[in-house]
Amino acid sequence: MNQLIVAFITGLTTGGLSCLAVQGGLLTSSLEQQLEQQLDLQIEQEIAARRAHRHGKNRDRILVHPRLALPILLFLAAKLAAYTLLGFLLGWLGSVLQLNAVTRAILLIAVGIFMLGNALRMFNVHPIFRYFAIEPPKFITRYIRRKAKNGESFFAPLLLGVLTIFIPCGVTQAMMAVAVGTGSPFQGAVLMFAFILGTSPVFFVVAYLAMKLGARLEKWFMRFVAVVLLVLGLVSVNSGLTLMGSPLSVTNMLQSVKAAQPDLASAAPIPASDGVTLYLSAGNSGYSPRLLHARANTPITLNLVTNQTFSCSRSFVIPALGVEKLLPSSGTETISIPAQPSGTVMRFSCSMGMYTGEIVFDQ
Amino acid sequence: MMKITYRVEGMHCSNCAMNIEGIEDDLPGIKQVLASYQKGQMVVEFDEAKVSEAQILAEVVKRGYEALPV
Repeated sequence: MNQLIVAFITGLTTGGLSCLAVQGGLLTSSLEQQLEQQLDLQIEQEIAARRAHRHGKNRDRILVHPRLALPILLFLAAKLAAYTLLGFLLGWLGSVLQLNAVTRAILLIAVGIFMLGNALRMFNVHPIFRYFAIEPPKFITRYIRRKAKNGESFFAPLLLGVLTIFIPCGVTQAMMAVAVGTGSPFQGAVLMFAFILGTSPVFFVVAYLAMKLGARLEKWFMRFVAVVLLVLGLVSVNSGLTLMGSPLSVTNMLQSVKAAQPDLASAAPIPASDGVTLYLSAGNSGYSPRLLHARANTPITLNLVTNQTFSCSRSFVIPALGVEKLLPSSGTETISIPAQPSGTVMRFSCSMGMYTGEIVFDQ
Repeated sequence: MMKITYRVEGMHCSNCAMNIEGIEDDLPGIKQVLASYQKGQMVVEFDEAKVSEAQILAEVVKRGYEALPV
């Protein structure tokens, strides 16, 4: 029971915000469809009102009452159901379903391209970008149309909610690892249910407030959504590149600038590194120090120290070595790094590419 | 039975295609309407004895779009 409360609180706090950063684009996509549909209704009613006016009828403007909460709730319900099922499978299948860093990086880049394509579609840059819109199969649209005569489309938010299982944030991945550790389908399912339920209020509040604003500002909000999608798309592609250890990512390009700045207050007091035995603190706000100097042509021992760490920095990755470690919330984990030639820059990050740092072999 | 393809102006999401396909529920004599937002067109299969092309085009305009023969 304690574990479930911790899972819920983790979701409510760090999980909600962290997942919003990663999966917010999918939610925006699903809401964007709903908003576009409401604009259609508004236009239809304007046309009807104008026609009535021409025929001398009373021109009372019929207002569209936005039902914005529904697609958000559908998205979250689908996400909750999908993750509960995933928790069940993780508990049952163990670590078989864990994605490695490269697969996640490719998924992040793919999702980023999907978001960028949709943003360009909404800006009407070129008809080719229409292919980024999700077009459900005809038999489904026919079913939806006939079953829901009011024209509400629930397919997109439901589908996108389910798709979030393919882009879990670092905190979610940590929770997925815990679900694997339960070794029980039922416990895995309940754990993931508690965690995702915890993340839902943050998603709902942010999305609902954003959409209330959108209903008033109508078309202007569509531009805003497109800009948000554009930014989230770029962030997602950048995270994917960082996770692959690519020097082309903005995060890694800025790393040299960041490294010159003072480090974050270390969450855990760590001994000084001597070039052969390195110490790195993985805190709730990232890694410290962000720049480590190591001796070239000598095997290195990297000690990762955590102390009450619950952020995604716990999910530690060195892409160049294929190293992936889930660190304990408090403790020390050791990684052996083989000898590297002088001048090597080895990048490390959390599993979603949000927190980064590097080891320079220059001693 | 006739089958005509039209270019549709004014669609800006997949739901628009679904709205246009709703014509097949509202006009008698239409066998099928297949609209695509991606292609920006619709294919209408209809019985010309029961419904005219003009009626179909008027129904499209009623829904806020414009259809032009390809």
